[in-house]
Amino acid sequence: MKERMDPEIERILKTVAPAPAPIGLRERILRGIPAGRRTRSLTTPLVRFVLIGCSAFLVLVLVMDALIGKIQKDRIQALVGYTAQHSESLALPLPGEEFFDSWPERLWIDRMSLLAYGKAPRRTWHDIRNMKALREEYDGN
Amino acid sequence: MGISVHKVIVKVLVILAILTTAVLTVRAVFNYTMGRKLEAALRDAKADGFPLSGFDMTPACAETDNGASLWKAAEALIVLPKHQERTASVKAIESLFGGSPIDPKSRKLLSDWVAKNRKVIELIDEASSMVCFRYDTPERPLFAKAYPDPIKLLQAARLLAIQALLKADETTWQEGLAGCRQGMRFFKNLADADASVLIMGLTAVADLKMLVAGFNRIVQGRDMDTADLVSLMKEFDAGAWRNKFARFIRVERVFGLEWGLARIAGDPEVLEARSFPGRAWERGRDWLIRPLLKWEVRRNFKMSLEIDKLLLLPYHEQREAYDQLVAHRGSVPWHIRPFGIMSMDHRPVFMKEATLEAMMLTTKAGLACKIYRNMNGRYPDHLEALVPSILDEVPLDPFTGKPLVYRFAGDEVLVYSVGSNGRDDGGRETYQTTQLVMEKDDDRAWREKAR
Repeated sequence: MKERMDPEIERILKTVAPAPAPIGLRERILRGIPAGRRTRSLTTPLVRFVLIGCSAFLVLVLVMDALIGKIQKDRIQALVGYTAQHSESLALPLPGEEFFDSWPERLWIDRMSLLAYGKAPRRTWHDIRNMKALREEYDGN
Repeated sequence: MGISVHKVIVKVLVILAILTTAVLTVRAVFNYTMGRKLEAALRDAKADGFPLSGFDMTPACAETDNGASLWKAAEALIVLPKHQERTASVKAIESLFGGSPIDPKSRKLLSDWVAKNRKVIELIDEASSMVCFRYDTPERPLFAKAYPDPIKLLQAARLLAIQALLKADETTWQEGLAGCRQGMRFFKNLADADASVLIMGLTAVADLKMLVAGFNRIVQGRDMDTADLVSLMKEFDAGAWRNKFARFIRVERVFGLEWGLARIAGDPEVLEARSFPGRAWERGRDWLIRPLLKWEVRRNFKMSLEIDKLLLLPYHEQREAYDQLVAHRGSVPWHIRPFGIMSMDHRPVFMKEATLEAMMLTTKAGLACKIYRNMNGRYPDHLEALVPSILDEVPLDPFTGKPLVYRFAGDEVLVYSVGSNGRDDGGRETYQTTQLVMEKDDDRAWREKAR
């Protein structure tokens, strides 16, 4: 069948003039290739799955953490009978920074050595420095 | 080129997203498990009868019985020494410990200082006979409570000791001793206060040491009736004081728990009241390390429950048991320390308390020797001779567990504890204790002329 049709097809094809390619088509296609490649590589199904999955899981984890944390906190507070104080009551005279600043250095160093096996937190450093200034004032306590 | 950069960025973002999710998931799991363990530890402690809040440890106290009201008035009135007086008072205290006399110029300055604070001394005298001491409202957590000013407490003790010495020299020794005794009662009562955290305990120890030293200076070498001496001996019950002092450590345990739980809860109102953590990033960090905070609070709390078993032991056993406990539990791991996780070291506290106990025991033994001398016309040859007629048992040195050293040196009779170094320094003592184990001269001695 193929052999029988071939001469006819050849003849018909010779009568058909090839249509010219639209002007600029080649350039447009070539220009679109990098963008296509880029789009394809950014949004592969795997990446999309990972990103969406991670985000959803993260939200779930954070929500669960917050909920469980709240439940645990409430249970612990009920256990110890501790309730957070309100600002009104905390506005009453509290031992503020000046209270600690007035401690003699030896007491503070005792406190530091009591509290810290290892490294004292950075926020306490200024207290220690203040205590050194107070040493002269309260020397001998 | 542009395509590969974008690819790298996307890959990095994906990896970061995976890592963040993994880290936060692990954190959440750790947070949950640590929370469960902390809760279980607290529930067990509560079942065993350990108080878990400052409220549970606040004594019931009617306002009419509250010594703190009088102390607050004293705090408001106390005139702290000016520079010259301060120097003189430091020298006077040093002379108390060193046994040298106060020079006349210093004496004048000190008399003036005492005169300015006559009302304060009266208030402390009155407060010492009150049955309770509640400084703040019971509802407030311990870390948010108001506390007596330790500086003023120390100055008050100094004032009382100096006033007692001056009175003993200028009027009668009975008046001087009465002042010392009132002061000792006042500072012992701080152990039963609502705010008896450890720093108050250390302040009370320092105050009592000053007053015991003042007391010794008045009593040593003075002829006194046996009845008076028997009465005075009652002030020096070291065992009873150790029981009282244990409360400071127990209250500190609750202080640490309340503070830790407040930090875990991240309650901004509570935390900001103490300026911690003040900044947003610190709060964020606290949220991130919350499982570690729970770990810390649980670890410290459980450790403090173990320490509770050691509180009533004599120091030489306490020190050994504590070292074993720390070795068993281990210190805070290095990888946790950058987060500011802390753990208490009780050794300096135990040592300071033991020093006071040693002073009390030597004073008591010294008074017993004076009673023996009144009865027999001479000092005993050894401390065993005081038992059972004057003392129930031979006083044991808290630092060694052996009887206090008793001997005659020249024209003096000495009773002393060998102190932290466990070595007999011949009764020589030091004013300031600066190390866990002092290298030399840290005996705690009672001495007088053996006439």
